[in-house]
Amino acid sequence: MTGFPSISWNLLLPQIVLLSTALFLLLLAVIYRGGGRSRGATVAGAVFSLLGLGVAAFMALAQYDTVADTFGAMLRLDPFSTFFTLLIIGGAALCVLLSVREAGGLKAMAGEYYALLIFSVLGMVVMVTAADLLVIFIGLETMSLAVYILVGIGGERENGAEGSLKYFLIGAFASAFLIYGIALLLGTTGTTRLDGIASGLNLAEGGSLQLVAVALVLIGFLFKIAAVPFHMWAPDAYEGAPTPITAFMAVAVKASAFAVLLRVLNVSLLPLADYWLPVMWTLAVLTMTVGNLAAIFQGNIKRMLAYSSIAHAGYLLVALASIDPAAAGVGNDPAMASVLFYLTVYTLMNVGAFGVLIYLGGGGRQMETLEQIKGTGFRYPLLGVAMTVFMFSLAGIPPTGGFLGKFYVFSAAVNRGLISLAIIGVLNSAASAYYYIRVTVQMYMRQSDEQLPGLPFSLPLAAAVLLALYGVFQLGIAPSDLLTAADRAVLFLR
Amino acid sequence: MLDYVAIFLTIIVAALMAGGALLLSALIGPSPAKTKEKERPFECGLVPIEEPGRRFPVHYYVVAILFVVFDIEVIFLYPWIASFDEVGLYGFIGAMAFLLVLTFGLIYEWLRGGLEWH
Amino acid sequence: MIELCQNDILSWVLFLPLAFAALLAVLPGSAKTLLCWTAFAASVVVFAVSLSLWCGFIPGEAGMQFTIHKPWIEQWGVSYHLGIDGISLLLILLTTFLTPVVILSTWSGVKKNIKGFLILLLVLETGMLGAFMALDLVLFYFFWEVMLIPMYLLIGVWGHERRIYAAIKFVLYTMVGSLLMLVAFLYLFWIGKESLGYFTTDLLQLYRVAVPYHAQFWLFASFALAFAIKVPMFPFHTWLPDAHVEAPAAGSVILAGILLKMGTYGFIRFAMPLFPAASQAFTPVILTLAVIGIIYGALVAMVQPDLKKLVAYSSVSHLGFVMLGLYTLTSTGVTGGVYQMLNHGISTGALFLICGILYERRHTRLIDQFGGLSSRMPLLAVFFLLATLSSIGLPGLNGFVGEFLILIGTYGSAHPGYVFFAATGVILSAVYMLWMFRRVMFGPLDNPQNRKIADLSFREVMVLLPVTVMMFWMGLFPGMFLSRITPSVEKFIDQYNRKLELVQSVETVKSPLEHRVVFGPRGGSER
Repeated sequence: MTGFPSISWNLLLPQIVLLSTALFLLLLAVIYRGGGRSRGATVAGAVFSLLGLGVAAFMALAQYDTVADTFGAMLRLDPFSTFFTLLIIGGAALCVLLSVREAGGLKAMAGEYYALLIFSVLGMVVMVTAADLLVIFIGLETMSLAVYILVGIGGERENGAEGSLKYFLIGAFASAFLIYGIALLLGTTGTTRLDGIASGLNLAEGGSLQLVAVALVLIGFLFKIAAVPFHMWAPDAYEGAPTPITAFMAVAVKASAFAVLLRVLNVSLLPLADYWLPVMWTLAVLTMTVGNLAAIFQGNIKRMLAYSSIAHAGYLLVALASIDPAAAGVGNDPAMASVLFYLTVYTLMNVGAFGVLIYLGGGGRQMETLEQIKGTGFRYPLLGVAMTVFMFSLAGIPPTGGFLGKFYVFSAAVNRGLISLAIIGVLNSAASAYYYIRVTVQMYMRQSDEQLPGLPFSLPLAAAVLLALYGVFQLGIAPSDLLTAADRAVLFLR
Repeated sequence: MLDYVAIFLTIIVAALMAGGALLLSALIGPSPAKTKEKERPFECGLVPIEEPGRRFPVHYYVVAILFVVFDIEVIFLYPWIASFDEVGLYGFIGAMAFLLVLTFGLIYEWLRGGLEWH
Repeated sequence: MIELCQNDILSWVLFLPLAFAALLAVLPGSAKTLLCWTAFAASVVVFAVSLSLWCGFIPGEAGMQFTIHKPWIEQWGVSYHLGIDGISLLLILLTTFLTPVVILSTWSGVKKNIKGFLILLLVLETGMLGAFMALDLVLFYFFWEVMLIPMYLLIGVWGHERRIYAAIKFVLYTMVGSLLMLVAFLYLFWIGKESLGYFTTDLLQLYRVAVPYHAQFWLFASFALAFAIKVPMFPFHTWLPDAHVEAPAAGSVILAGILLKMGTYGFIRFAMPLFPAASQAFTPVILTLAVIGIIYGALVAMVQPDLKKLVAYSSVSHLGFVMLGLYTLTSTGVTGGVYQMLNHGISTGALFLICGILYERRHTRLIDQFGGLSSRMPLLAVFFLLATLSSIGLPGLNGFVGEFLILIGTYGSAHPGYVFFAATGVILSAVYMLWMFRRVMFGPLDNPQNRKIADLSFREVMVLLPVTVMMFWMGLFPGMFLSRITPSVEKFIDQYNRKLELVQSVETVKSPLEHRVVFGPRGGSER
């Protein structure tokens, strides 16, 4: 007769809250009296999602300073995981705001939509708190399965199913890589625990099989962040998905995958840094260049933002390539902190850009291609200004957060002497300015062919766009608080 | 590396046996004449009466998935029952929580109409 | 209260335009008169406040004055550090002086969305002032890039037929240069950290860093590229004619009057004092490009059928003079270069204002569409002639002082040979400017469309009058300006030479091309 194992349930409160919210939303979809697709159900779903996310964020905030292992040290709670928990929940909450208008016209009921969203947030939060590769895998699958469905959930879109299927097949492929890598690591190091792997790595004995294992695990994660050459799914999935889900994938999925990548690289794979640093260098160059070049030729803004999100993954990989293995334990590494800062800024500016696109589409006209947004800048002045700010932020022009994010990442690269990488990065940045600016060209400098309709006011959309706008300026002008938080968070990574 | 040699050997032997059997039958077996009858689809010795390739109704899959879910539930519950005395109240609470989550899914599926055939 | 303002006067000057832009944003877009008057009053207020800088400035002191130093992003050692010396003081006054003139000139020229136009002009003013005031490299880069957005929109939205092409070209040229400069900034911070022992982005502290020569070479090259694009120096000038021709008149004035000065200001404030040894090695290259710019700009200007393009190419020529002056590294020459920056702002600004006035009446910029206008527009003819003569450098007007000082300075410098080419440029400028003036203003009035053309309105006189007064003032009493410039210039040269010796004493200077950087991926163990 064994007693209760000591599990600090209170540390898991955010996850428990998220799970309960998701289950509740699932029931709400079927028991809502007005019908699962009614306006009431849509609003109720959004309200309860925000409530759940808010409570979970509050719980996470309350344990901001906690450093603890729980669940037999399968989960690890530290400022790093809390930082990402908050970032993911924040990004998801913004996406919920973006969804209120869209969630009405879907194949699924509104409640199901929100439930899937919260389930995937749950998976992400598990991922970023995991201290064991298997738990990471469980979180990753929870997240992915929900997102696969969300991609294909769109109403009249014909390419939703295509994007969803592509994403599912390639995602399953990536999961197979990951689980195979985990199995090989278990075989060669005797553990799947992140900290155990570091001590178990022994190239002299384990030999090339360990390298293969590490490569497979990394490939699994690189698929999720859409690094070139593992990016093929991204444009189709982004284009086919309902726009709020596109935003959600671009920000939350990417953030959680980068969180895991950072943790695995730093906690488990630091002894192999000499092997993966050059790989990250190469991937960064490839990802930035391919993403930016492809984005230049896109006429559909969602697709363009998909390629731009690939390019941004490239900038983040620059930071990963600049990690200093020697800095372990002697203070914070700017390369790692810059990832956290960049992802936060990226979340805000991307959600903002997609929010403007959704808002523009509110007048009964699709607003997804460069052709369609002609002349919208002066017709809808506030949206025009907001979109301009987001585009300039994505291009990395001050006074926006996007500039300081790039500044931080490239300064980390130069700090490590990777000048050529920084130069390739800034040249890419200049190329990216071309297609971001083209959006403003279309909005302000060309005339619309037809009369542009008035747009119905939407409070949640306006709130999301304004919050993102505020955040982008806040981080571009007074970033100190976030920098402190990021510096602190990465201290606990080793 | 030596630990893995056995695995590689097994793979090689398996491949040889499978491939060898096919190769052998092709080599020494009688090669039948390719008549029209031989090329036709074969169903219990009879000529098929309808076109093959009809799609299953999607409900079939829904029920199949439901079956798999509860199948796995049983697999999880079995060790709990087998070690019921050892895990005690804690095990009981854990299993109930697990069942509760599954029940949510069942209620959802029921109310959503997943259990009805039409 | 006044004491408090005195301390933060630079912040006031810097952010007042932005505050007024915010005020304009909440005014209704249809109230055109209200918007115009508010914007004009706002810019006059900013000018009045900036005049207190002139009054409070201590002329004999060479160092930074009115400094403000507050932490901004402490984690990166970035501070909100503002300050001005004699060089930036006058450029700031030029900015605040030209802005009201430009705003007044747009009242009739801008037909659509004037609210946005005026807001952007005021935001642009803040950006330009910030770039002139910043004593922190990150802060400088911040404002340097902030300028880009309003200028891009001014060209792209309110410009002429090929405005989108010109706007995108403008942005991409500037972005490539400035992003490479950003990497150089980062590298410089890193070197500064190794040498000073702490991470700082403060310009005055980085001045003290003796950057190793091989690093200087690349750092200077990327700084110089960014600034040379902005100046623009030959062969990086190709964006300028497009931008000028397509920009609305107000945009052209700001672009020629102030934005181009960012490039030359960047050389004198950043590229040269930070990396004197590399600057020294590059001197022949830069001097050669400068005189090529002078002569090439003049020759191309001569054959332009388009009035604005002609003035644009004359800018290339004039800015070549400025670069020549800066690289004489004599007190006279550099002072002349700085003075010529101001002159060019005034006289080319006036020329573009006149182009705008003509375009508003005739909707063409082609010189052969005009002719004989002086009989219909005697008032304009006077102002136009004065601006032309000022641009040529007639004694008594401002242009003469700058060019004369530059020529004297060059003659006394280590490279006196360049005087010959520069003097040729002076003569050529007289040729193309006077020829242009003759074709526009004199001759028979044979184009019937020109017969009904109206002379300047009262508002337009008020636009051109202050600029013309400045031409005389700066031409007749240069002493009160030079006395403020010279101490700072002398300090600059002194600092430059001392640092040059410092670097040269540490290591022998090799030929620039012997240096290379490491390209390609590097493993983690390398450091």
